[in-house]
Amino acid sequence: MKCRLRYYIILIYICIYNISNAETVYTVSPSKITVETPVTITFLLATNIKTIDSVSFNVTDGITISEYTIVPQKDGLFFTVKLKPTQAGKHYLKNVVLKSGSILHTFDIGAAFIVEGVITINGIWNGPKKVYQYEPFILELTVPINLNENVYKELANKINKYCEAMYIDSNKYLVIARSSCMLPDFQLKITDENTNGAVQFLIKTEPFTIVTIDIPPGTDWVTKDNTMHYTVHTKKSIYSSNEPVVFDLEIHATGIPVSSQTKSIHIVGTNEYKEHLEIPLRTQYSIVQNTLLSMQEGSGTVILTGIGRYTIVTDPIVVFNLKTGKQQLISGKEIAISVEEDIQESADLQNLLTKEQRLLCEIMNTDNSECIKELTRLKSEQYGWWSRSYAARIAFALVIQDKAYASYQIMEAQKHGIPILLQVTYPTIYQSLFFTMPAPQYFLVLLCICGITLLLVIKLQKQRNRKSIFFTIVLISSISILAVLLGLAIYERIPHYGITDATPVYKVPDRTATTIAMCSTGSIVKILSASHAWNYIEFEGKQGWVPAAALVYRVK
Amino acid sequence: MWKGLIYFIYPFFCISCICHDLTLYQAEQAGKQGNYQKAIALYHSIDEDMENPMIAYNCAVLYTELGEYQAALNVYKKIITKKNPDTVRIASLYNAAYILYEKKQYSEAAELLREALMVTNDKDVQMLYQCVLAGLDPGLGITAVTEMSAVFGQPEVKTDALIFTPVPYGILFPGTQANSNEFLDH
Repeated sequence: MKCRLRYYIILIYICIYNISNAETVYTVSPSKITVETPVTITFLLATNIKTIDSVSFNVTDGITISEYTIVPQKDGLFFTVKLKPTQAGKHYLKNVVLKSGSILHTFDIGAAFIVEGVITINGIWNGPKKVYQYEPFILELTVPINLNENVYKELANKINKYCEAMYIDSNKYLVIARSSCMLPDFQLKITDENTNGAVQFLIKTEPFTIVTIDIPPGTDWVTKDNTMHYTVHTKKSIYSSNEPVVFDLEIHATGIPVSSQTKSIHIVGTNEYKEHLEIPLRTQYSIVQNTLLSMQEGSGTVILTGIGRYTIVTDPIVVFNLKTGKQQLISGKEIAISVEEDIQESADLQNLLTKEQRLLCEIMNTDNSECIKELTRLKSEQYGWWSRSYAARIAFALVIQDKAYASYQIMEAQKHGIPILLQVTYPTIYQSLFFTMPAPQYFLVLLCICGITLLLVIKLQKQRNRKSIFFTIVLISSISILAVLLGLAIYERIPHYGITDATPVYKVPDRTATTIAMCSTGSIVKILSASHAWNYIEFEGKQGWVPAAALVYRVK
Repeated sequence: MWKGLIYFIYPFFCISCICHDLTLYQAEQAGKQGNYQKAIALYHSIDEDMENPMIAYNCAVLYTELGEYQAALNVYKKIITKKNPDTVRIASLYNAAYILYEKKQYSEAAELLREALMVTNDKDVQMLYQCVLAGLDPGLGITAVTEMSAVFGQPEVKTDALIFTPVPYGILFPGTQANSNEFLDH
């Protein structure tokens, strides 16, 4: 009983399996098919229809049925269908419809075969026939099939030989013509990846003529509308003398710059100063919603030494408006900056310059009691802690106009010219420049260790045996090591300073690297790391590298 | 007497070694934490003339991270011209070629990559070589877009050529094995 049940289950399973997986087995010959090659497809329809009134085959376009035969078999009807492909591509015999009486029986066949060959596809260009010179316009390619993006890009490459074109998306190109031109009929052969290269598409485009209307001569920009942004600006409005003034020029509009790669800037000062700067421009393009946006940027630097008020005027731009078809002149906004006295000079060096003559008197006439009196008065007023020799050296440096040496002597004077008593009296001035104490915790820990060690030493001294002497030596050595460590910690925290010549500050230690700042002669920089060829420095809050030779003086 | 002298010198030698290794470690940590300038300064304090290939390579990578491609290229070329271990040479050749490729100096890049391919069959090197060859002989598709970008500026859509990271081999730290696949930040 059990065995029979198993037999039935297996039988039911086989039936269900066969029904659910019923397939129409078909054969296609020959294996390699080209256009006009007769194709024979055979298949067996598992049906018990006895009479057939009509037969129709559903095939893809480009296939004609030349003849067919039906042979009744025991299992159904055996079909032999002869087809004639007229077009290359992947073709199907989708289904067969048999009409028996008033009933239509549809059998899905799905016989597929590939006809090798080339399919010609014609493309039509859609775009304006007449445009202005440099007017960006959209050129559209209409083709009956979906093409790969790479094909469009390849076509863009071909168009680029005649005018400037860029593929945007789907089938659109943004084109700019400098003059009238004709795009010839392009032919592009691409292989169909679905057919493993058996079928190829030949894309043929029609010729297209672009006629351009000349724009007026002297045009700098061609714009689509009036939304042009043209500015020149500086980072601040007040500068100190000898400080570099950086101008940033910016032009952006919906359109394209035609000629100007540089722009002129005129600087006129109230102190009769006049300068003309040519600023090289970088051009960038972007496409937003099928519109070309162009942007020109540039910057220039000028050092205005004279104190006064300066006006910066830019050359106007000649713009041709495509909307109105007229040329117009657009001026940049005029800006004004004022240059004031250098704070550094006025605070330190300028004060010294006023004293310079008196100090020189002192150098030359050492016995002049009036001069010494004056110097004493000056010292008591401002530079009380400076020694006379330093003051004389600074004065000498200023007389020979060696700013670097003057800065060096000022720093040296600030450092060495201050007696220890005054260092304690004026800790803020001295420590901020040359001295940074380690964290208080560091001292606390060291004091604790030293205290404990000293107590141990005293205790051991009382015992007075050989072992205690040995321990005493060890403990005293430990205190010495700790003292050395403290000294090293303080020494490490003393910043180094350097006085530079006129030198650029590089981003990395290489002369081809970007310049992040400019040190003028006598600039004081903080040395963060020093080596033979390069010094890693901090200047105006920026960290960078200067060649070691550019540091004319060093102060620690 | 000589023994005494050796005993005297030995502690200084040990301290010097420890200081050297500590600085290397500090530079490595600074580089990993993104403090590139500090890392460069530390490397420079150890080997200013870039005689050590590892330090030179690390410095070049750090220059690249800071956007100083020409400076990085100078260091890579220095490493390449000297007789250095294969790992550093290949990495330097690759990175230098990559910078040249980005600068569209395809023939020079190809020359470097050919030199690298003589000693390695690394996939990254091969891939870059293919890209460089495509740049030398512009064919279909993407290359055409890159060409157009020269006229119109950078296209909005990134091309395949920009997929690579700027420094594929990352920072090579001392102590890494000879196999190029074992670079730390590969």
